[in-house]
Amino acid sequence: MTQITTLIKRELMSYFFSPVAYVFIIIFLLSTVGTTFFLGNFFNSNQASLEIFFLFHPWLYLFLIPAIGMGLWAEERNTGTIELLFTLPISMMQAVISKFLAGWIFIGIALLLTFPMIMTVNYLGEPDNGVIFASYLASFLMAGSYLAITCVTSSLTRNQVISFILSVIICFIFVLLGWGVFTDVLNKMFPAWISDIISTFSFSTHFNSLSRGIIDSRDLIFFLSIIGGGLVINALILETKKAS
Amino acid sequence: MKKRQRLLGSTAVNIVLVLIIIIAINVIAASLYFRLDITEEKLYTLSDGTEKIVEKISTPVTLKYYFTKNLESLPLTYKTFGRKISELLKEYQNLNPEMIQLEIHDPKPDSDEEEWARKYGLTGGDLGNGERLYMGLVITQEERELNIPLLDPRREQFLEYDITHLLLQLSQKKDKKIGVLSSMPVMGAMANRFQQMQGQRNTPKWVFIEELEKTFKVETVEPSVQEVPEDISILMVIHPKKLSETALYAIDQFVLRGGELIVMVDPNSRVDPTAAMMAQMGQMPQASSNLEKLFKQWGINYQPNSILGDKDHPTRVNAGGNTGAVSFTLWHTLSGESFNKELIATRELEDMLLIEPGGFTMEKTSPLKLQPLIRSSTNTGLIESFMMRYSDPLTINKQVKPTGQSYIIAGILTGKLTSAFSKRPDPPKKDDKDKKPPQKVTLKPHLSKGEQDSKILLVTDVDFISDNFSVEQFNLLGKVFRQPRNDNLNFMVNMVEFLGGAQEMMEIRTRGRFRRPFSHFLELEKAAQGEYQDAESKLNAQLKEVQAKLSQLNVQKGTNKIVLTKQQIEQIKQFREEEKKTKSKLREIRKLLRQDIESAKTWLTQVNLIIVPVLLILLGLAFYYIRFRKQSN
Repeated sequence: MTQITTLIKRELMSYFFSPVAYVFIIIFLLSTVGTTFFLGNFFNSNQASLEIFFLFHPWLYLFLIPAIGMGLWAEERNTGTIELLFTLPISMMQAVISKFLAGWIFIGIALLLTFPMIMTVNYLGEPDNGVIFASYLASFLMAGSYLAITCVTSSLTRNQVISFILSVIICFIFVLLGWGVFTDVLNKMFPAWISDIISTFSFSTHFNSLSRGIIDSRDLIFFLSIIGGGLVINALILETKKAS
Repeated sequence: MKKRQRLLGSTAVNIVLVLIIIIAINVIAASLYFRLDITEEKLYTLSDGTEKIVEKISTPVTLKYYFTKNLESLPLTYKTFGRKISELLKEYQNLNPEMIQLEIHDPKPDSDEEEWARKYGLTGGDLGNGERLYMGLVITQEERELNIPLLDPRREQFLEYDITHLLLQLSQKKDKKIGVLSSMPVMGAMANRFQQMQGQRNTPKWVFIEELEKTFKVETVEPSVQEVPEDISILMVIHPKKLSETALYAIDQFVLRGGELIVMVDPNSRVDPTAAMMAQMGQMPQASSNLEKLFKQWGINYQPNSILGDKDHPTRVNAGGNTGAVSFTLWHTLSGESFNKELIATRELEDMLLIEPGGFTMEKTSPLKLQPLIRSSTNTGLIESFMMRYSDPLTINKQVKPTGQSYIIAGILTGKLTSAFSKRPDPPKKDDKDKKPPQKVTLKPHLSKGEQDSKILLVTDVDFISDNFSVEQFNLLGKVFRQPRNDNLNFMVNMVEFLGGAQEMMEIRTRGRFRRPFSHFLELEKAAQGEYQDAESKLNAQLKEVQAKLSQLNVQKGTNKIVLTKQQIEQIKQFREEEKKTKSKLREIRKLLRQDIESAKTWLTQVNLIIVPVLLILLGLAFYYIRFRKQSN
């Protein structure tokens, strides 16, 4: 356990000692807040809620998170520091988990830094803070799922760009599966029960469901299973690469 | 090489296994799940009232929800609302899954489902481009069926109420009956010939009656009645004017037999059509009501021609002309503190509007115990109602001289009563022209005192429950919808349901909202309007004066073809200048009205965008500085 915590600390520190973290967080903040006020017409909605703010997250994450995660493994393999990592007295799973958790915590910090939005919406009216909490939870879990997928693609190749593109494509499919227009196409191609099952594997479905304010075990299990599964696959791939 | 291939192969297999496990986990999770509703108002959890009603269902019920959720031109509010409806319906099913079946249909055009929707009476609404929206609910139980043809997004806060109500109606075999004895056309009226000549149409039922009809059967009771029919559990006496001895006796006996009575009187009703007609014909209008004989017997102290003015709860009204907006003390805008916090029926009420109400107090010798529902402040005074005809709001306000006494405007009275009559009065003489033989009716024996506690709800205002002052009407997709403007309707229906024992419905009625507006902006607007509206109306009046003078001069110029004197030309110039100045001042005011809000929006946007990034940059620089110092050391 302590090995994981030390690794996590090391990773996090390296984030904050490089300009990457600051650039990322600032872009994250500007894009989430900017889309809310300008694209989402926050003031015109006259709704004291952060629904509009969270509406854009699945799409913003599509680019932001692969950007963070693309280098996680690819860079280590590129620079050879991955060899160093493997000499440490830790298991593959531990290494994978630490890298992932460090990235996830970093994204969590970025999310928390949007706290002025919470203050704004409480100042302007009386929002349902239970719903806001659930939405943040949903966004955090969804971000974790995106990150897990990106970790996998990052471990597949040394090339960060390929990792980025692959990750975007896979995450895009996951989001699309729950998107209204696409579900119509599915409805036409497959019988109802199949297209329903397919839709349940979408980020948007569970994200929307969770951010309403109902903590449903199905949504939690979905995100956690994607994260868990992603990490296991990540470890498997690295094992293969290690052997060669 | 082979070893590598084998490794790759086994990895691939492992990966596929992991994927299958993920899918399996999620499929299993779909069947065994738990939920926790952390919304502030438990929006997605049904209230206790609904639980009680749903648990009592003993015969299977099917809820059929028809919603065209995939319509292209479906506005977002309908989409979200439609989704919320299906989620809420699922909650109903979860409460009693053995007895409740839920079917969700998407009636696509020309499909079987659309046919079924129409058969069930769900008309849907035209979206204007040929597409038809369906968002209706049918519930069936054996052969009985009830429906809500089109669920209204503006009735969002009553969604649970409407659905549970439908369920209640379906399972109830007998509804309680309300009898309405009213001098006003609350049950709707056909326009008589005089009114028809004036172009007036039939008046519809008042909205509060329609709401009550959802839980009760509502019938008219004629003022000529000798005895209140046996099957009536609640009698509503609304705006009684000079009722005959027979009618008073009927009410008296009804109460003694344990019937529940609601009396609504008003010292000056604005909505009274007879009074309006009399005023039009130049007669002294009789707009007040009273139950003098019975009130005296019951120990109720009520002045039928006195209006209560409350300086702590005035309402901003437009007094017209040069006066502009005035805080009128005779129209009460209530706040939370006016209501009895101990009763569920009134605990949640906030915002009621009373129009020239009266007020009552109890005599010390009254046999009845009072439970106040609405109480005025102590900053009140009574005004004679005739003053309304001759004075303007400002003068009337000045006439309200507080005595430190507070009055009850609505209250529940309980206790054992004695009759105000010694025996049944003689029936009114029948007209000789009446050819019909007198009907043989067996009337009940005279009761001199009540066998059980009587229950009376007394309200000293009638106008507040008229449509004008309680609801807003609007058209939506070809249907007329009504939305409550304030808590007036809530109060009335709550109280009747409370008396009628449908308490479960009352618990549901005061449920939360899905919508939360920017109250900060609303407050800014209100404050701004207060300040600037006065200035604006004064300026408007000024403008009208100036324009009138201008047109006078112009007329002179036009008709008489008199050459204008230098003086007159100067005058015209001056007036035009004044007109310009006043108009620009008005524009300034309109700008100021929005200014506070616009500036708030700007600085909020800036704060959100800039603060944290700036802090981060500072933090980053700090880290760098530390690192450099470390390195240089």
